[in-house]
Amino acid sequence: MLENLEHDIDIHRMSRENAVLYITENYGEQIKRLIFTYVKNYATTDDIFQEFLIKVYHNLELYSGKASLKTWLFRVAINKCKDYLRSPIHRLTVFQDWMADREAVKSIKSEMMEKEKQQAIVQSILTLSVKYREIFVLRFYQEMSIKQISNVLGLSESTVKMRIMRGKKKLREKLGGEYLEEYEID
Amino acid sequence: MKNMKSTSLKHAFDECIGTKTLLKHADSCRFLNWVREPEKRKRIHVFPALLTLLLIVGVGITGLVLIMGNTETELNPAVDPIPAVDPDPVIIPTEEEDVQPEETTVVEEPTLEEIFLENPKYEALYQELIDGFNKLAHYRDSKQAYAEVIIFYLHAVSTKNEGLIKKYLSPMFSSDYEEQLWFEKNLPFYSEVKDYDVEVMHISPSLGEPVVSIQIVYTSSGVTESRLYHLDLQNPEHDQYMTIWESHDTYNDDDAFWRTIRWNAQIGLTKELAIELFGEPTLKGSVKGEEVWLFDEVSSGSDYTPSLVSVAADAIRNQSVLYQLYFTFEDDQVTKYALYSRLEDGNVKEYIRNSDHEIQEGIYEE
Repeated sequence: MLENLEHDIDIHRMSRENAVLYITENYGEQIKRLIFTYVKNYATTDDIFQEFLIKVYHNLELYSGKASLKTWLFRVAINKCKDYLRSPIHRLTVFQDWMADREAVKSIKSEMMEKEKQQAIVQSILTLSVKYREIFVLRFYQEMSIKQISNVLGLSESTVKMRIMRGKKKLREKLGGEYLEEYEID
Repeated sequence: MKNMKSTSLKHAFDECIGTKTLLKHADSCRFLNWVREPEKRKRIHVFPALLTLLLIVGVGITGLVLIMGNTETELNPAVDPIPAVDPDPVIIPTEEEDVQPEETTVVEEPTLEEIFLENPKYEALYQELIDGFNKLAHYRDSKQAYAEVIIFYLHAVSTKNEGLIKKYLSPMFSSDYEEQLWFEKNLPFYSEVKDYDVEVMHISPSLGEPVVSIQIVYTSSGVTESRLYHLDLQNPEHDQYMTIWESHDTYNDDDAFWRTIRWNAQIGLTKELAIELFGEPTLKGSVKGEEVWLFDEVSSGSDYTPSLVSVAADAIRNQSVLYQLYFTFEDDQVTKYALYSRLEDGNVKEYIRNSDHEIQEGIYEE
């Protein structure tokens, strides 16, 4: 549905303010959730979302229309997230995240119901390093094709496939082979 | 392999992140509030005198704050109707910023003119790059700087100047440890290639994305190798990567799996990198005095008996095993590898390569 919106609206015909409101209304929730998968903190998600909107506001003319609007917006948002992850502020919180990750992985070992197993997979995905996490998020949460992921991240399709393969190995290490058999991700 | 229903994971993601909308938090987004309230913006035109007064007061306060040594500023759309510009300028590292302290002694830099004189092909490539960037409206301003960095880098590769390779490549590589590892561990492998003849096969600046792909062919002692570089020049610190394959390898475009394995199986890989790329080996041991490691991928729910001395051809044929990859190590480096995988017709394909770049390829026969 979102893809169709792009064909209906010419973002350059709007005022900057209306374009920002349009983007917020139609892509805001999706982008905020994407940002959360990177930073894993609601307050930080709000901050980065604001920075994302300001960046879009000032750079609307850089969107040429050749890539899809969604691809461009995702790319801007992801770059903002990566800027944050490299920042000293984030590094201070890495230790806390690491502790939280350990707890999440520990809980996977226990007996779980179907729904909880899915939650455990998602939690494990969110504990992967960014380079693997972002690909799983785009593939299984944003439901993008390999080609779309390669466009958003500026990676070749083969690299995306390779990272899925390596990410799967890492997930197996976290979840255990037997556990993943039931939830094969490819 | 089975596909997991992505919808079920989508719900799991939603529940993990929170089922309530996150966008409501946007109400607290000051920038969005500013965008939503045209009256606030119009007020600026209605009361120019008041604005001037506010500006004077603002400048005074800012000056006072600066004098007191507090340079921290905060976006406040209500006071500053046009939010602070966040241009995210493209940074091509300057000479001073770029050189790592320990590398300064290694670097002996030629000028662009000297490089062109030495290898006229680079001049053509330089022009081609600039033409490529001309297609990207928002990179036109920086096209010369981009093209220069690429030319200097290619020259460094062709002259095997590791100091300069690092200088031009490291700013373009991710700070991610694994990518660094990949490059560092491969340096000895690159230096094995002799008598470089660098030829640029194609350059494809993407229209939608700020990525340049350059395929370069090296001819070394009659063996042609090809490398594809993807350089993200817009965000030098973001994901950079280099994929490598041998141009004389033939592959079916649909068979990405086979290709992926082949790209990563290289003569000269260290044990550490082999584990990094293929995971822990299924088996390792000594065969006829040589150290052999077996890597494989087994289909979900399948089982087989791996061996260092015999290929599990039947298991590969019935797709219990997706591939078997045997590495022979000498002094921590792969000197020979053999890859076995199923062909569409059900036969097992064998691909063996040794350190002299001799290749044996065909249908595996027991």
